[in-house]
Amino acid sequence: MTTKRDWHHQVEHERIPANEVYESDGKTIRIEYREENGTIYKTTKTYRNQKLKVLPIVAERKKWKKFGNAASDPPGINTATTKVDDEITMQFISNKEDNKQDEEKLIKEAVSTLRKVQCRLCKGEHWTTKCPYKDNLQSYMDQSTDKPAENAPPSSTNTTSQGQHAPSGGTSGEATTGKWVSARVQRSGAGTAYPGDRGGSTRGGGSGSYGGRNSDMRKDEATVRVTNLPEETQEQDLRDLFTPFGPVSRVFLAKDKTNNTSKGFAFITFNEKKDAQKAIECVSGFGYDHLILKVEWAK
Amino acid sequence: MKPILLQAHERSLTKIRYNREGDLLFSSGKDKIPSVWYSINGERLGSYNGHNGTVWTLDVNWDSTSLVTASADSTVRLWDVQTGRERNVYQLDTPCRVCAFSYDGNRILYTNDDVMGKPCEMYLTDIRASPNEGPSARINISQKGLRKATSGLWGTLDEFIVTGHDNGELVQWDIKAMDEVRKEKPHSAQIMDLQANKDLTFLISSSKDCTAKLFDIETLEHVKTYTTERPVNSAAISPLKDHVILGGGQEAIEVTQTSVQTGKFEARFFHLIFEEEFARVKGHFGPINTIAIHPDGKSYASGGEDGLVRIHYFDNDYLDYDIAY
Repeated sequence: MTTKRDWHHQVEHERIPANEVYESDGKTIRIEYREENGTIYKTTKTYRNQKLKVLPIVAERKKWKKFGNAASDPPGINTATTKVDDEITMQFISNKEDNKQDEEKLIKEAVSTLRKVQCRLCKGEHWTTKCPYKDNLQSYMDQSTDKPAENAPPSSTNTTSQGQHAPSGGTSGEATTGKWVSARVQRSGAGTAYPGDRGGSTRGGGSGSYGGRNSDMRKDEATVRVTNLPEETQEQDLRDLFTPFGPVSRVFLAKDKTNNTSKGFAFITFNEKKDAQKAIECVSGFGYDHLILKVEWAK
Repeated sequence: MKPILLQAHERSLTKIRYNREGDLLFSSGKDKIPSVWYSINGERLGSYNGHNGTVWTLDVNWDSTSLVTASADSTVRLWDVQTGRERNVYQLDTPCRVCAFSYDGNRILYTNDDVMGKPCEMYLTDIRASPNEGPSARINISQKGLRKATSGLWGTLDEFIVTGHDNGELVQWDIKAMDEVRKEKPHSAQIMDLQANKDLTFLISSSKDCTAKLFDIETLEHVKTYTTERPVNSAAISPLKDHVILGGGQEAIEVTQTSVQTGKFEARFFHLIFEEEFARVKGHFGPINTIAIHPDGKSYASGGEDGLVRIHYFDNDYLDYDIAY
């Protein structure tokens, strides 16, 4: 059996045909055969023959003999030095670059607003303690709010109510507000309503609109932010990681646009806040692919 | 369009040039061997073997009989275009950076670098004279308080020379007086390339400061600026349309730290008058070091840090393209 195959191969080897070149209706067709790892490859190259009217001197130069390193090249192009590349198209742009820059700017802004210092009284870019309207607004706050602990969480959709519920102690900084959230979530996890909020919102008037916002808030609160993720992370990995704590309604993994790898952070939305809380407790500090994950409430 | 790839150079390209009719394309690179190609199909006609170092630049005379090359092996060589034979060697003390044929093809301009304690000098030589006669003129650039010349070209009627310098200065030299007549500093970083338009009335300079600028060649009056966000290594003015093509990209030293998309290795097309970018052509996977437009304006070639020359024949969508105004 094997001898037969060898024989077959041998015949194949001998059968590598010679290269052919022929012309047909204005085209030169060059067929080349080569063998690689026992298989014969046939390459057919078609060249379009073109007749151009050129200056006599140019025609003269076209007949020049090749020299130097090209001296041994065959007539016509040498495929070792000249190739035709894939089709490319010219990209016409009409302020495309501007749009791109705008987009980048927007993203940057969005990122910076996450970290930006915002006054809870007037929403200016300064700490609450340094608010120029502190005295006026705060006294107003004190009337409408009874306890600082009942204040709204620093969720971004909630900024309006947040502004109204400044703590009278003038507590500032993200770390402290972060603590408040978790305390509040624990409370709400037990199924209680938000009496403090509702009390504060009476100022807002329309209770219907408030209800809508309330549900938005709830959704936000069941969202956790995972940071320090490895680059190779996929959304499915996150699902696998977080579904044990409860049903996950949405996974958002921030990816680099150009190479589609993870940017290192993700948002996971749970159906239940208590699941999210559990996830934070369990996964925060969890070693994942040589990195230690940080899980916290999404702000 | 389907670009033609010329892959004879083993290292990055330094200069490509079409001859007057545009049927020949000359290329030089950091490997020692400049080559000549038929631009119509990319067939290599030959190579000019003899240099022993990076060939920084080359130029061909008007009737495509002689080629001059300046090399880091401290020589400037004159070649017979048709046969590849070396006609003359001009030996200098330090690496040669610039060389250019005068419009009449009788004189060449070349400069050397200011290294090893030697000054940067500019030489003018009549190629009809024997090489041991020495240069017909010699200007010590360093002595005049100028930095190293990095590019140069002949002005209108061979009456003056314009050189671009290391620190972004542009200097005009009168040939008869052998002295500088005008000095401008339009760029804040090294000028990489100077190219004139077809009738030698404008010149375009490309600089590492991420801009290319258009000047009146006689008065050195600054006319237009083309701004990009990466260093510009080469820019050419189209003889057919009011367009300029810019080539450049992330500097070679930083290339390993960027992906292709962010490197901006595209050839960029700007409107000559409106200074507005309207098109790009991708392809190189390194910065573009040199760009040349065919004298008929219907094709252009670019040579990159990746060692490839790409000849692009424009499609009708470019040739029919017009900015509405």
